[in-house]
Order: sequence, then C-alpha cells, then structure tokens
Amino acid sequence: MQRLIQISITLTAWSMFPICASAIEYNGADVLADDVDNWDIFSEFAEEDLVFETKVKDFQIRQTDEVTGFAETIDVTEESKGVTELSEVLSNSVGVQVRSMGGLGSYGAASIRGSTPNQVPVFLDNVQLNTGGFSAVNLGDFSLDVLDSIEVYRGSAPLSLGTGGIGGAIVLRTRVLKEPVMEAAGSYGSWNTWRGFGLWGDSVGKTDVLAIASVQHSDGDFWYFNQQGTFSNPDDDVFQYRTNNDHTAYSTMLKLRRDVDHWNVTAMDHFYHSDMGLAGLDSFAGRSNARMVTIRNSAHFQFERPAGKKSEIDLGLSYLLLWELFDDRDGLIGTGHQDHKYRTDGIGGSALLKTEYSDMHSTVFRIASRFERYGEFRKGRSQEDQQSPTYRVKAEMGGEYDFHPWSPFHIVPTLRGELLYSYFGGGRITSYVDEFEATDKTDFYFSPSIGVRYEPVKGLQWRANGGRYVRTPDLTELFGDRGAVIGNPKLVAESGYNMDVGVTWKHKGKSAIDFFRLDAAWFVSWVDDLISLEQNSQSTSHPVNVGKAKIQGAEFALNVTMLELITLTGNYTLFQGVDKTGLPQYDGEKLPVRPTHELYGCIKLEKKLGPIVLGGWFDSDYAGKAYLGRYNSEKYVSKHYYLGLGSRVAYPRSGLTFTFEIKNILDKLRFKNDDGDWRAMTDYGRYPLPGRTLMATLHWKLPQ
Amino acid sequence: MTRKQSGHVLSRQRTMHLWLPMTILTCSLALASCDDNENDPVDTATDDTATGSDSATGSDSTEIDTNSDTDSNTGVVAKPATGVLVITTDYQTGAYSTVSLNGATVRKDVDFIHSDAVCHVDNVTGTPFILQRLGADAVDVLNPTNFAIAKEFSVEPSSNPHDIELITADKAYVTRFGTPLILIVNPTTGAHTGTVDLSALADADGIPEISGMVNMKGKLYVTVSRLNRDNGWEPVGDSYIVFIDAATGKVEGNVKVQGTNIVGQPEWSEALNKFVISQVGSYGTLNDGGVQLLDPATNTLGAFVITEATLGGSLNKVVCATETKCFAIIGVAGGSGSNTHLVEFNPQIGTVTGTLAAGAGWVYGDIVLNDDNTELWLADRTAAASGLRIFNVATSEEKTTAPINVGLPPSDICFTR
Repeated sequence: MQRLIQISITLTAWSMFPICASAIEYNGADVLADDVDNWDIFSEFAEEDLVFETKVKDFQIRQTDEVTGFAETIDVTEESKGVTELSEVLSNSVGVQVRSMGGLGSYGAASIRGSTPNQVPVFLDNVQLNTGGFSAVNLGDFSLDVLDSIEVYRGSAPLSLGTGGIGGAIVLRTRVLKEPVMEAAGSYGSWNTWRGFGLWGDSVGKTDVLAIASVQHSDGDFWYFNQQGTFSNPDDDVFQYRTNNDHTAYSTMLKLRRDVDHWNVTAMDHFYHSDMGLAGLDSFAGRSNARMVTIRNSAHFQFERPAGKKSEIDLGLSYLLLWELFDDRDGLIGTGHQDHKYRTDGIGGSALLKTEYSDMHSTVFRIASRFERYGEFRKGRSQEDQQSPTYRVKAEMGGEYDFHPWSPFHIVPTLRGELLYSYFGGGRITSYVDEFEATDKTDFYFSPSIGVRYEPVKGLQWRANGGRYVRTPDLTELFGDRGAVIGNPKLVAESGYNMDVGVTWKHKGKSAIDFFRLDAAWFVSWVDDLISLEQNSQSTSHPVNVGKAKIQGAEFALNVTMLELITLTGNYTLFQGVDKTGLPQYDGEKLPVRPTHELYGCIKLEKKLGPIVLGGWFDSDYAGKAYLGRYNSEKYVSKHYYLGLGSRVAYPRSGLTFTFEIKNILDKLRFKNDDGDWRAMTDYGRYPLPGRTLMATLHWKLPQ
Repeated sequence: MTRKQSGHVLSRQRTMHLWLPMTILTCSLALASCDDNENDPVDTATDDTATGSDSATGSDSTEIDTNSDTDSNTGVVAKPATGVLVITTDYQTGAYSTVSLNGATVRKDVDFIHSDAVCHVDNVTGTPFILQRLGADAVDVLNPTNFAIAKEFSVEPSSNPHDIELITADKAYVTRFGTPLILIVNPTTGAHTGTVDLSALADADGIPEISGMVNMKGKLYVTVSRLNRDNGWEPVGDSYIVFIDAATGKVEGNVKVQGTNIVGQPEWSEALNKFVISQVGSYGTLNDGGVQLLDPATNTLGAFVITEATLGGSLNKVVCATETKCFAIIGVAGGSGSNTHLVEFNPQIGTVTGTLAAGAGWVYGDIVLNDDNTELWLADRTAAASGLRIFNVATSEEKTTAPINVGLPPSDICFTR
C-alpha cells in the first residue's frame, strides 16, 4: 500500500460520454485503481484510440472502492462538454437526495441515506466547506468545470476526511494536470442560459500549472405552475414565467504542483463569485427584487513526502472565505427589510501519517485543527446592535488501523476525537426578551467505527460497517444569527449510529458483456438529539435537541457495458425514515422530503464511425412521493419524474465535440397528489423546478 | 389574532334576503344568520350595552338589513358559541381542528393550511375565516357546518393578511401587515373591490404595520403599530388605533396609544365595556408597554391599567373577564430562552394577582374567554404535551387534567357560532 500510484488508463471511445451518472465511475480511474490488485484489465481495455490518460497520485485520495464503506466516484471531467449542475449529478447518484430551488445556480443541498443536509460534510479537495461548524453546503455554488470527480461516501467516510458526518461525506475533487491540455467550451440554451469555459495546463519549468476560468449565466425565467398560495383553490392556478431568478457566476481555479526535494507540493486556489436574483416563493411572481451575492475563495496547500521506507506524510493548510450579501431591502421575500452581509473565515491545518508495517498491518493517524470566525453586518442597525462575531476552534485527532490478515480480508477499526471551543461575545437580541451574556462552550466528541471488506472470490466484495458519528451544532444554532434564530448554547451534538452491509459484484466479460457491476446494500441508522427549531418569541425560533429518527433502506446500483456500444446504468434507493421523537404529533410520521422510492436509469449508445464518434443517451429520473413537512400531510407532497435525452458528435482529430441535451422532455411542471390535486414539481415546498430545457454545447480540446 | 367572544356586538350584518342567492359562502352566512338567539343569556347582556341593539335585532337576525349599513348605532347580537376552531402549526405544516365546547370531541386536521395562519369567526353570521399569512397571503372562508374550505382567495402575494371584518355578504375588510393598504374584498367571490390607504401613518420604511381590526357599530378599530422593518421590527415612534367608517371606508381619525407596538387586535371586554389594548413596545424592554382601555363611546384611551414592568414580562395577549380580573400571556426571560407565562391581574388596581401557568419556552399562543366569561381557553404549544387547556375563570384553576390534543401545537383559538 505504500505507493504513489502511477496508472495509465486507456479507455475506448465508448467511455467518452459519461453523461449517465451513478455508475460512471466504474468506467473511470477509481475502479481501475481498485482493480490494479485484481485484474489486469488495462491491456484488455487498451485500444489504439487513447482518449485520455489518468495519473492517480496522492495516497490520500483514497479510491472509493478501497474503503470498507459504500462509496462511489463520479467522473465529471466530461461534464464540461455539456451544461450540467452539481446538484443534478449528485441527485442521480444512488442514496443521495438533492433538494434544489430550481434553475441554474439555485440553492441546492444534498442529503445521504436520509440524513439532513447539514449532516453531510462537503469538501473541496481537503477544505471542508460546511461553515460555522456544520451548516449545509449550497451545491448551487459550484461549477462542474473545475471538478475532476466527485466522491460520495454513504454512511461512513475514511479518516482522511476528518470528522465523518452522520450521512457520510461528499468530496469535490478539483481537476489535476495529467498532460498538457487546452480546452474551451461554449454553451447556449433555454432561459438565455449561456456558459463559457477555458482550461489551460502545462508544465512551466518544474511546475505543473493548471488554470481554469468559467462563466455562466441564466435568466432563469422558466415557465412554471403557480398556485398563488391558494392550495385549496385550483381556479386561480396559472402558468407563468419565473421572475428575478437570474444567475451569473464566475469561477477560476489555479493549481500549481511541484516537487521540492522530497516533497510534492500542491497549491490550489479556487475563487467563485455569483450574483443571483431570489425569486422567492411561487406566488411572489414579479414582486421580488431580492438578490444574493456569494463570494467564496478556497485556498489549499498540500505537502506530501515519503517518511522512511514504510510511511508517508501529508501536511495540509487551508483557508476558506465565504462572503454572502443578502439584499432584500424592500422586504419582499423575507420578513423585514434586509441588507445584510455575512462573512466566514476559516483557517485549517492537518497532518496525516500513513504507515504500512507489513502486508498485514497499516495505520493512518491524523490530527487537524481549524479556526473559524463568523460575523455579520446588518445595515440600518447601530453598531451596538450588530451581532458580536462568533468563533470556533476545532481540534481533531484520529487513528485508523487496517488489519488484513490475508489479502482479500480487511478489518478497519477507526477512532475519531473532536474537541470544540466556541465563543460568542453576547449582546441583546432584537425582538427577543433575553439579553445574552458572553458565552463560550467546550465540547468533546468521539466517533468510533469499524468496517470490514472481504473478497471471497475475485470480483465479489462484501462490506459491512458500523459506527457512531456526530454532527456538532453549528455556530448559528449555538449562538443565533440575531434574526430569526436565537442560539442555544446548551445544544449537544446530533449523534447517529450507522450500520450497513452489502455486496459488490464486478465482472469483466470477454464476450458480449464488456463490463458488469452490481452494488447492493442495506443500511440502518438511529439518529438521536436531532436539532429542531421551536418558536421562541413572536418572530424568532430556538434550536433544541428533541428529534429522534430511525432510518433504514436499501440501495441497488447497476452498470453494464455491452458490445462496446451500449452502457446501461441505473440505481434504486428504497428508503424508510420514521420519526421516533416521542412527541405525539410526530411519532411514527415519515421523515419529510425523503421519497420512499427513487429510481434512476440511463441507456447510452456510442459508436465510432470513421473519424467521427456518435453518441446518444436517454435517462429517466423518478422520485416518489415525499412529504414536505415533518407532520405528514397529503396536501403538501413532492414527487418528480423526468426524462432526458442527449446526443453528441465528436471529431477527435480536431478536438471538437458538439452536444445537444434536452432535460425534462415531457415538460413536467406539475403532478397530482393522492387527493387528485395538482401540485407543482418542486424539491422544496414552494420553489418550482424548470420544465423542458434545451442546451447546446460546442467543446474544443487541443488534440493530443 | 383571536376574537373576544363576549356575545357583544362587534359586527353588523344586514339583510338576509340579499344573501340567499349567493354562493356557498352566502348560503353559509344565511344559515348562520337564521339561528335563534332569543334564549341565549349572552343576548341579555347585550341589551345593557351602549350598542343600542334591540331585542328584535338581537333575537331575530333575519331582520338584519345590509341596506342600513350606515346606521352605526344599531348592532346585532352575536350568535352563541357552538364549538372551537383551532389553528395548529409547527411553522412547517399548518392545519386546523375543531373541538366541542366541553372539549370532549376533537376533529383533528380538518384540513391543512399554510403554516402561519390565524382564524376569525364573524360573531353575527358565524362565518369562519382563516387568514393565511405571509407566504400564502390568502383568505379562506369555511363552511360553518362542516368547516370545509368553501372559498379561498389571494389578497396579494407577500401582503401578509392579519385580520378580517365582514361587513356585508359582499364586503369585508382585510388588514395586511405588509402593505399600507387595507383591502376591501367581496368574500363571496374573492374579488378585490377597493382599499383604504393608511400610508400617511407609515414610518420611514413606508409600511405602518396594520394588524388587528374590530368592527363595532359600523366603525372599524384598526391597530397601527409602526415597526421598523430595517431594524428587527422595533417600534418607531407612536402607535395608533385608527377609526374607519365601515360603510364608506373613510378614515375618521385615530388615537395614539400610550405605549407602542400593539399586540393583536382590540379585545372587547363586556365587563369593562371597553376595548383592551395590549402594547408590548420593544420585546425584552419592560418600561415601554402596558394595557390600556379604549372607550368606544368617546374613542378615548385611559392611562395604562397595568404596565409590563408590573406584570414582569413582555405583553402578548390580554383578555378581561370581569372588572377586576384580566388574564395576560407575557414573555419572560429565563433559562435558555424566552418563556411565556399566563398571569392574571386586577385592572382596577393594576396589580398581578396570580400566575395560572408557567410555560418553558414561547409556548403559549393564545387565550380566549368563552361566551359567559366562565372559562379561559389557552393554546399551549409545549412540545411534549401540546393542546388546549381550560381554566375556571372564577377560581383560576385548570379544569382540564391534560391538554386537549388537537394535532399539531395550537396557535390560535376562535369560538365557532
């Protein structure tokens, strides 16, 4: 295991179009990395048309098949050839639910296996993006153009990611320079959506340089079903255009890499700026002029080197700036006029030591720390009425022991510890009867877990995991935001006991079936001390630890490639989440916003015809009925069923690729609930999703 | 938000014959108006009031004539209470339930509504309304028999309706917290037929925060709190009770209250023969609020009968059962957040005379008195045991042994008629 993996992967033309999500990774580098020990597949997949070469370096980038937990890697490098959002890619992944507010760049949050979005840590490389401790991450704030792959860990996450979440973890891996490269792309489509993208990478002296810039815009004025807030009166329902839903975003990434003595040094800076209109609820059509500007900068430095013959050391430094400007000066979508600025600064450092003592024993030790400051400024308030900043210092430590007494069997116990110090300067809270004293809080949490991976026969892997994970209260929950949420310093962490078991069966055929993979898993978790908001004054809420839930379900994912022509991918998630809080109004209710059935399927055809590669795909995404409220009501439910279609023509010699996509072909804008009443297609209750969307993209890549 | 159901005249309705041809709303209004109130002890009480209602009007609502709207000295007697309509919510999901007067029968979740809503039952016709506030911004008219939603209409997105007063079958006023305009609607059709502009009373943010409203003898008493939307809804300057002629919509004047930030609507007290005006001022500050009484005969206010400082908390809802016994929900600091207490006080001498209940958290949503002022109903939102609690007004002791479960935690109570 002590290795810097250097793998050259060659893929045939059929893998050029990883549009169909979920099982895409099985064609990509991660599977192959896993297969290195098992199959000599490279020679079999290698053909004369080399599409790309992947060099996997960094032992810390654990391949998702090498962990004991259930995980997948979604290769998104090809997504720059189309217009796809991060939310969309993740929502098509097994076990992941994404709630979007509709439209390009709109707010979206992911939950895994029925967790809440803020129980899912999201990383950009090694920088944790959950601010304030563990708030939900807005997936709408990311362009896939800067990403190489997405790792989704369901239920348990490796120690290298630090604190695991109750739901698992999502890691957004930025692009890496694999070879000299130059790319450019332009897209245009419905709702005046356009996008430009440029990438350049080469070695400058001894330094590998990768630079990416992208810009995207959408008017977001899609046609939607507006019930005017009157859900019992269908007579006033109308179809109309969404307004003030535009979005413009700029994104840059600069990544430098160089060997300095024995150190491999990587520096990365990712800057993101978006300016978007906030359309508000469906019934607010034409009324909102609220806007949100988001500025985020993630900088990361990584230093890696061997330490002796059996160890490797990895040091990391990171800085995260998140600046949000919320302007609803006319108070049209919120309660009260708001012209607020929120800023979070986070500085972190980590050290990881991996040692392989023998073929049977290896360990990973990790220590990390992060300092975070959260402040806000509210225009119109006196200086003394501004909220004091809040601070958090976090120290993490953990160890992971990988014991593999014989090659196909791994048992990996892990222990994590987390020490948190949080501080709030105190002060009076407007519209609230209490005045807060300056408050600090120190907590320590530990998270033990154990995982097993066993491969009794070649291609068949059993996995089982169990562990306790925590989600610490974020700074807003602890100390409030001086607006709608009044903090509660007495909060304790949400805790979850997760358990899963499942199997992966991979088969590489030599006949009509080129590749086959089936994943099946059953999972269960008991979540306690869930933090819920309770009303605490006329206009404020107060978080309290009151919730309990039992969650269980099953996941199935299938990937088949046949005749070097057809790829079938699909996944199904069966989910049952029950509120076990014990409160009479909630006990036994189904957890909201989690459909019992989720199904995704995609068929892709791709064929090389002379100098041209033609491809097409058809996909279907179904999410069954989900209640929108914790107190289940048939009146307020969500459901969606989308069909998508795409085609692509590539001329490899010129490096040109043209892609045409249609999303939501049937233009589904509404559905009937069990009472026979129409409801708009939504993820969140009153935020409609767009209908049929057409996109065309011309992509150019410097031919090799 | 809820109505004092003292059996006195707070609304006037006229002309039965004009209602009959109308839609389901009209039918419900008509049916409600045909009930005979002759033997209702509440009716007797109304004869002693200054409303000028006569026994014929009080006992036979078929005499109501909508053509005589401008006769502001004639009132009609409220119908007797038949049950309780309860708005419930966890601020994610909203619903409403009904409860029998003895609390024994509960019909949970009659329907689901917006998560922020209040109820209003017209005293005369018995027509139940639900005002779905910010986000839904709609008015629901319920069938008074089965409480199904008979009509639902928007009152403009993000306008935040707070109260409604039915004047005639085709005319109602709707106060809206988010605009300076009171909306005039036809509740039968949902049509918007006019507005009453109170922008002259707005503070710098342009909106005067119009909330509670009561119709008495053809005059609308409307609360204007004037809060600063740019600074956490803190009160700005003075707050007012505005008088509007219900027939013409003309603003007749206003009176400045002693404190600021009026909570809810003017609560009619049969015992005091005055409106009770509760003012919280700034939440958490106890030297800027109190309870005043408004005499509708002169439209004048007395001094605070009790202050927040004396009560020991930020004022919320206040109702008065007798000349010497009023009840208030107050917010008090403590623990890890604000708590609500239900206290009683003597408005004659301005002293607190007892605490009926002390909730952990902001859990007391509403209090109302029954028709004969013998029971005080409390909406208790305590998470582990939410529901309605009934107190004996005379003894101040709780009659219910456990909260009456109404589904989601209750936030607003109205007596149906």
